[in-house]
Amino acid sequence: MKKTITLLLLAALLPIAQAASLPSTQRTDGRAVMAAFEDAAEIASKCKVSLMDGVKILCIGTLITDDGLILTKYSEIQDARQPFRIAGNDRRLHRGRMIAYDNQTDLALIKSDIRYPCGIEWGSTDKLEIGHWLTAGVDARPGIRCGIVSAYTREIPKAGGALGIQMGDEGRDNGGVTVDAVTPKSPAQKAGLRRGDIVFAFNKKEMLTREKLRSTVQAHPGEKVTLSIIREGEKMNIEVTLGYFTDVFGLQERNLRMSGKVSKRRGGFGTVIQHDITMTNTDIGGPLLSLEGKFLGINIARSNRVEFFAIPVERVREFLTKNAEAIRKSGARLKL
Amino acid sequence: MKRLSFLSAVLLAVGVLNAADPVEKRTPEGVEDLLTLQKKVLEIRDEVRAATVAVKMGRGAGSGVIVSKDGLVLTAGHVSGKPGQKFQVILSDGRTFEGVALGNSPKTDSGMIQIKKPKDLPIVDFVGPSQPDIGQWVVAVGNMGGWDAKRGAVFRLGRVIAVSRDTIRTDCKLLGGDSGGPLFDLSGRVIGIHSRISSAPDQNYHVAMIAFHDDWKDLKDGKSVKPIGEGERGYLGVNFSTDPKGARVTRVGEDTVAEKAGLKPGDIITHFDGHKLFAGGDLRALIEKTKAGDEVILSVEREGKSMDIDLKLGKRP
Repeated sequence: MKKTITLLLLAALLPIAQAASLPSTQRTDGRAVMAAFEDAAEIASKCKVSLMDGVKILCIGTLITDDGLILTKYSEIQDARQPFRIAGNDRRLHRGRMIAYDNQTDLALIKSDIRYPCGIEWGSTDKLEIGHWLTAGVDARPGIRCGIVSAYTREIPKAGGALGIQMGDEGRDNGGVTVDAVTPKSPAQKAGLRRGDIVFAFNKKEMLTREKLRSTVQAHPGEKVTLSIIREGEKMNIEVTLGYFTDVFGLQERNLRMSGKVSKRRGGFGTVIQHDITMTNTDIGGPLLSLEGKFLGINIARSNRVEFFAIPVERVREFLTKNAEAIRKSGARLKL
Repeated sequence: MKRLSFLSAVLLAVGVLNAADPVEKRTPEGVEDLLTLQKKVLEIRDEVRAATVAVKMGRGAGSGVIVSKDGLVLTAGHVSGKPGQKFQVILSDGRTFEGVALGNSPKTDSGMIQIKKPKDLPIVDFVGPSQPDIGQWVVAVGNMGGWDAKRGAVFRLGRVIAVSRDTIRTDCKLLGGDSGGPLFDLSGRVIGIHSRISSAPDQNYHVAMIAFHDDWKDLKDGKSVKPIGEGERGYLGVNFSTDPKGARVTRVGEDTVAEKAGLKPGDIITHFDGHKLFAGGDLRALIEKTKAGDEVILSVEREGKSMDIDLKLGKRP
């Protein structure tokens, strides 16, 4: 009672104008609301780890055994130096190496030297419906946020690759596909492709028609590739890191601009759960938990300001079962 | 509808709310409260998603909500645009109808679309001229990024952060394509229409239902509600402060229509020409919609008694 009175007096000193908007602690994922998710918060704090590149955070990881097995998002860590530096909840820095990954789900498995209980309680997404509460382990304090299932569980189409050129003349007589224009800020412009260049090969494979070049580019989103071109009569090779179709063109461009940093890879994972929990692009790789803290999946993408995706726990199990041999070899013990 | 008094504002600020308040209006204190909230959300879910539509014109994509069996769709003014403009209206079950823009208000961003040849339309209710409570739990639905049959309309939960006469601010995250989509209370009634965002995640703004009620006839008649120029606007001639019941007169200017009509300091203006005031600022918002010479009725509370005062608005000196 005494505490309540003190708080009331304090609040009475605030100007009315300030009281007329909802204080940040009271917002949907504010501290006061998150206090209601006590059980989930405790589990999230145990199983959540941070993967570091130097002092910079790459993304979150999820500790799933008491002997240091960690799940995370592959495409966020694939280029980082190993062994990874891993900040655990024991406030110590650990090390770990990747022992398995999967291209479709974009999941990676790391064996670390962490030796404390993960707290994970395996759940099921069988009865999960739109509107059900969810929680997620995140980097910022208090380490957990809430939201709800936002849409049907489904497959997200993979965004195709994009180069950012307008294609002109084509064919063997032309020597390949002529670049008529280069889109500003596109992968093509960044790589130094110019108007008038003639593209004749993709990763050393001959590519003489617009259709062949277009479909090949589409099939390699986000990849670093070599384009062979003819510029002013001379043959040369140019390295290009392809973009994703929606980043360069199309309806979604403005939405991405309003969304801040998003995951580099945002589709093609197979079946995912969609939710509305506020997460930054480095909060990906962490645990998706139920209201009570049951493990429901791995957060796999911040697609935009509104749409967040997670790989359901059943598919996480499949990935782990498929890699049972690598797990055994790493010395970790996991019973599924 | 309960108004946000100073006292309840203080209580909100520290999160110590009356235990008798229904859980959908306060901060949940544990799993039981969270499950009560979830139950309310699930009860309205299917109905509110069914009545939410995607609005398409060329490559432009927006949302809307059907509120009558004869096909009235509430949307944002920047979605419906020029009265008479044609759209494809896509229902949650995939059926597509032709729609035509009715009126809009560039100032508040309210807008309406009429579905042509309506048949078996799913509909939802909307609230009367009332304001949501700060902290109230709400659900936002909309076809973010355009229509997607496999995904369905995107469903989000949030709380009301702030309200003014024309606008509700929430922490329900919105994005392009959501524009015109509905914001619901947990009884499944429309309380607002998604309008605009800025880059911060809690900067999501919805046209308040009051803004629709204030301009209802013009919107239905297919008019674009033109803002009235400052020089042409009506003038009352009072200073006021905010009061839970409306605008409390603090000073009456000399030789103004307010003085001639007998308004006195301490009077509380509760209604302006039939429109209920929720805060002092509402008086200004409503006067901005009038012209000098317009005849209006003020409902006033003086020493606990209600009275109506008729007057002809003056010209700004």
